[in-house]
Amino acid sequence: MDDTRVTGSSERVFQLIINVVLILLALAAILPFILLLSSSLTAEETLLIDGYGFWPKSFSLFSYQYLFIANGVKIFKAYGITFFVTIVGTGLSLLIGPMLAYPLSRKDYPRAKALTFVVFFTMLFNGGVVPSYIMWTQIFGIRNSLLALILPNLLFNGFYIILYKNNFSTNIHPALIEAAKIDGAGEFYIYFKIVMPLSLPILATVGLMVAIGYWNDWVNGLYYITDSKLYSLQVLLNSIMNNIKALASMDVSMGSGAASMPGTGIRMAMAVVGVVPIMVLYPFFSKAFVKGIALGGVKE
Amino acid sequence: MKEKGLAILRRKPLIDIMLMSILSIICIFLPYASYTYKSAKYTLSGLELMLGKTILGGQIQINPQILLILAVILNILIIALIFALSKLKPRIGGILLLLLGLTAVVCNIAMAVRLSGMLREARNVSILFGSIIPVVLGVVIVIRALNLMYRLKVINVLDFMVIPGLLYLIINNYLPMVGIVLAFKKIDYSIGIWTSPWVGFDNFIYLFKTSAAWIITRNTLLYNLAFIIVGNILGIIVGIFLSEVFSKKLRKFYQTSILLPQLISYVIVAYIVFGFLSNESGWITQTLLGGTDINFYQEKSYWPFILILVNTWKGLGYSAVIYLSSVVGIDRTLIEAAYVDGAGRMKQIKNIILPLLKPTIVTLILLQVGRIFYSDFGLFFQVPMDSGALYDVTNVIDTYVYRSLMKMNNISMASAASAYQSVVGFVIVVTVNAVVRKIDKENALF
Repeated sequence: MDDTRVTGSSERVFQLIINVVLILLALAAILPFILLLSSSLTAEETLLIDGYGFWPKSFSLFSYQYLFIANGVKIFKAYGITFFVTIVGTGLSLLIGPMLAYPLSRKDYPRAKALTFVVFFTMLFNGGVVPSYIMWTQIFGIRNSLLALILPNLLFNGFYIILYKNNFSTNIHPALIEAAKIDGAGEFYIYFKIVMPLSLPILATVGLMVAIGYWNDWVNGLYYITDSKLYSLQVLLNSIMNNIKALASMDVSMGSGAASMPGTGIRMAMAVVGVVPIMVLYPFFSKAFVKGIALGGVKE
Repeated sequence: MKEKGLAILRRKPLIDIMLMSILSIICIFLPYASYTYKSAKYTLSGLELMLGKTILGGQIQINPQILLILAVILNILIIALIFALSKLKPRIGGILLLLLGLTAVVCNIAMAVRLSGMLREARNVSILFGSIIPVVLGVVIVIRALNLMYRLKVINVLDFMVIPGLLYLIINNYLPMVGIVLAFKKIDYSIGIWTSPWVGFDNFIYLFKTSAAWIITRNTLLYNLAFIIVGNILGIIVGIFLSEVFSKKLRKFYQTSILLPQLISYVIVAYIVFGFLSNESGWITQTLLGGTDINFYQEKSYWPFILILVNTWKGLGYSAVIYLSSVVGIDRTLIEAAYVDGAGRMKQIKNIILPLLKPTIVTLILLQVGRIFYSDFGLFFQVPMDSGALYDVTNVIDTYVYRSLMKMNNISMASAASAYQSVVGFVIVVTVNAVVRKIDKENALF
């Protein structure tokens, strides 16, 4: 049995190597978030001397006090807009996206092939940023409205429709629809009462991807929103990042200790404010997220 | 008894549609829009727009408006069509009616939109009922036509299900495709996009005379090339490693952690990178390099590496999970058979797993090569914090379009670059696919 012992020990070495590599990669993925968190909890004076670090040498909640007490309204408003846009956008997407895909999956729908091509073609070719921008602002006039955060690009794309369609084709048996029809069910009834409940997994997966897309979006805000009252969380983060003046113009009545510019720790606290909700929810949706990626669902 | 074709129409002529069309035509005699000039209010009727008029004391010469004339002609055609309907097949008659109605609505709306651009020197331009009523009537005609087609079984309920989604794709995806022609215009918002003059290829000539055109093309292509190579090699390695981890719990932990960066937006990534590289307080500048003089946000030479690193950090989980799911799909008995025959881990990976992964690898690389002319706007815009000193190595087509359009107000450049990207991007996708189709039909995308 000499042979097995050799494979046995080489197997152990192999397991050791892959585990070490994967632990290092996992750390590389997690540690930057620790840097954010720890820096946001470090006193401003320490940050000015030592810079950001992975462990708060001197603990302080000043950054959060500054953000939530002095500028809480701004931040909660941004949270509110992000939540609203995410919920409404995802809801709308789940309402009309699968409804477009379902007829395409029906073999007895005469226009299925032509319309599938119409959907597919959008994945190959697009008009580009400038025509879209001109169209949305000049024809639809959505600049500085919540619609600007919901409509352009994010609602759904051709890829999601094809995903839905393939899922309906494989999971919904035509005999089921036939049977329902014989029982006198109308098309809308069949769709909402039979097809939708049977497709909950794909709806959840794609819905999650759409929701993450809305939550993380800052591009639409960058192009279409100039009114700071309509800033979503990411747009607010972006405006603070790009323009330190935006931070200086925030209420500084809290006093900022030694620093003339209270930016160092607050910047990191701002980023933490931006990631916390999604990190808290991540354990609950990580399975669906992995599934969505395995389907090729997310790529910003 | 079931009547054939459009016979039911003969019994109950479409008087309502005829009436609505006639009303729409009459509307041109009503005030179409109003404006104030020298503190007096004037109105413009549809007829005046159709025939052309000089207003504002000769300041604006309104030429006869083709859109409005077209709308009226369409309405007349609708009336004529209804008389002819009984002789037409229901499919053709219904679709014609629908198309005429739709185009009439679009013409009227486009006219109204155009008007505010035309009357730019006047104040308080507002649209009056003369333009609103025809639009409303047009919409009713369209609905009526749909209803008719449904009753004649030309369209069915499934068609109605498709409408909202299709409408979104038409607006969000197809209208901008048509809008590419704007790249051949010299756009001036003050005269309106429609009235802006055509300039042929001037915008493109202007764009390609700049050195930026070469730089953004080079950066876009080279970065994407690097991302494809690095991302896929690491993705395959990590995907295979993940599949080999014994403990299910550990595997899940690794997978969830590596995916974490994929979950956040590039705005947050920019904050994180800033946390490492910031001049005064970055962890790398202050702690790792002990207060070095290097100012990362001003120093070009580091950025190709930084950007590749950041992109890998964010995207590794994505490709690893895709490769993992494809490795997991491999028939285990093949691997076990190889094991029995004495193949070690490395041999199993080299001779079984990698060959079986080939279709996934080819498809993924193909998808990425197809998008080689597009880049992640967030990576190149947020992460370098829009630092001008770095543009040489961070400017890609997407960031260039953004800056020309929004920062420098150079719409000509922006639309030329944007059209350049769309068209070349499309050509690349189609070419790549055609080549793959020739070599190996199985792996072609379409």
